[in-house]
Amino acid sequence: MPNKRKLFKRWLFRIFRKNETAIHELNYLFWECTWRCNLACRHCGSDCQASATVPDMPIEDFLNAIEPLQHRYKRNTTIVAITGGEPLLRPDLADCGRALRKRGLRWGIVTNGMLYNEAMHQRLTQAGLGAVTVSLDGLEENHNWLRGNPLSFKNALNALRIISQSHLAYDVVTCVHQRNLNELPQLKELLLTNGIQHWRLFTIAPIGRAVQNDELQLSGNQLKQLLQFIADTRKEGRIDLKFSCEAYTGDYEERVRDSYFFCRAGINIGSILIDGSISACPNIHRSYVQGNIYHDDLLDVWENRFEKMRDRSWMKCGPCAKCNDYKQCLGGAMHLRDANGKILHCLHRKTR
Amino acid sequence: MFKKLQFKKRQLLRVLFGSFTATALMFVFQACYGMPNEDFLLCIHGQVISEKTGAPIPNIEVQSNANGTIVRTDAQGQFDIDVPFQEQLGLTFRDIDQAANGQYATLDTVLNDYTGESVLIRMKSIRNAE
Ligand code: SF4
Ligand code: SF4
Repeated sequence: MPNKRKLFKRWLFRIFRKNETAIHELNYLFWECTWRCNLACRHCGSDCQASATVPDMPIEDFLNAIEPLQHRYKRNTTIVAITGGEPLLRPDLADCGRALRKRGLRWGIVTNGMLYNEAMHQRLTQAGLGAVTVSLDGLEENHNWLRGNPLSFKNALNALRIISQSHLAYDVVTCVHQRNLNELPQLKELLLTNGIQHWRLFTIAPIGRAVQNDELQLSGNQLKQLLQFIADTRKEGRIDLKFSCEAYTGDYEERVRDSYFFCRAGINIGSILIDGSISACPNIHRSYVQGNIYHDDLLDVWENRFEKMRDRSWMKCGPCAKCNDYKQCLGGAMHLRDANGKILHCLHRKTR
Repeated sequence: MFKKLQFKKRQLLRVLFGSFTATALMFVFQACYGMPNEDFLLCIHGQVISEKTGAPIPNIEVQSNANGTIVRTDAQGQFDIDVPFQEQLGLTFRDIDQAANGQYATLDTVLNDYTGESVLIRMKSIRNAE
């Protein structure tokens, strides 16, 4: 892209971002509905446990909390992303979804696919399910290694086959690490062979269980290899592939996603966590919690708190203080800040 | 007052971004750990029956007014149609094989806040078709 055009587009984007931050419409609300999970993945960033003793949040509590949003926003403005733990472990998931639809909310789930079969598909689509994201972390051996279950690959692929043939909006997400980086081209072919068209790649943040496993982190050169693979695949145009929103990628920005890096945590993205905490993205350090639905009004918290996410000048510290890309990046992803505001790692610096 | 005006200005700027620049995609975002927020469709399940006899009517054309999608009812009068996610969903039911399964008047209907349950459509017969 000619440099002038690129610079102009980036400038335009920064105005857009400033405007979005000032408006801060809550468009994407996570609901951490359970901490129960049927897998124990090596990279899990969640605090959930396989046999969580924490009870699921009753749907009534969630519905009461979001009630004020309906007076503030037009219907259909907000999408509810049901996450966990593993949301399919909730026996009342379809009822929860139907209750959301009745309030004019769109809803979707993020799942490991273990329990997603035809019957589940029918049940959930008949409750107005609109979108699904399924994790598939490599070819069979690597996926099962990361997910710690010999059946997880088969089940996830089966789920994706059902979903991709239906009306649902969907994508498959792959967490890229040292063991599966080189098999991405084969994984691409596998997805295409199975009619799966939408794919998103992540790296693994050094949070949660992933902290203890060095194999899960990519080196600078491996990160470059990953970004180049995404750029090449997008150019090839056979599959809709994106890099996730997790980091600013420097010169790759125009080539690895449909839009620029923009951490919308607390700007358009909020979450209600299992204990009622009101936060931005669920994977952000829990010290950034802004309130609790059991004693605060969600709308009031959304409108009047979240200052740290909407004015990120405090993030201009450590390596970001002298970074030439700060203006475009604004200090990176919120989920990569520790409790003291220190950055955990910068993907862009690693690739240089 | 000033705050309100400023908010309106920002909303306007938002619309301008969406319509006049190549940045429309910026509005369609997805949180890293969330699912897609675009191309959101609903699948409407239903059955078409005769208002008079209650019998299922096969081969009725079902059309979504929003995206033009067309499907036909099966032998049990059942259909599944994918429509854009909207509060009000307009559907048109047409008898396209005329006398073959009885003759029915075209029916336009609007579903409000469809929640996923199966819908029952009753079509009126015309002339002595039944
Ligand atoms: S906090 Fe992380 S997951 Fe959330 S929007 Fe920002 S970059 Fe994405
Ligand atoms: S050092 Fe900070 S501002 Fe610079 S690219 Fe990395 S995260 Fe962004």
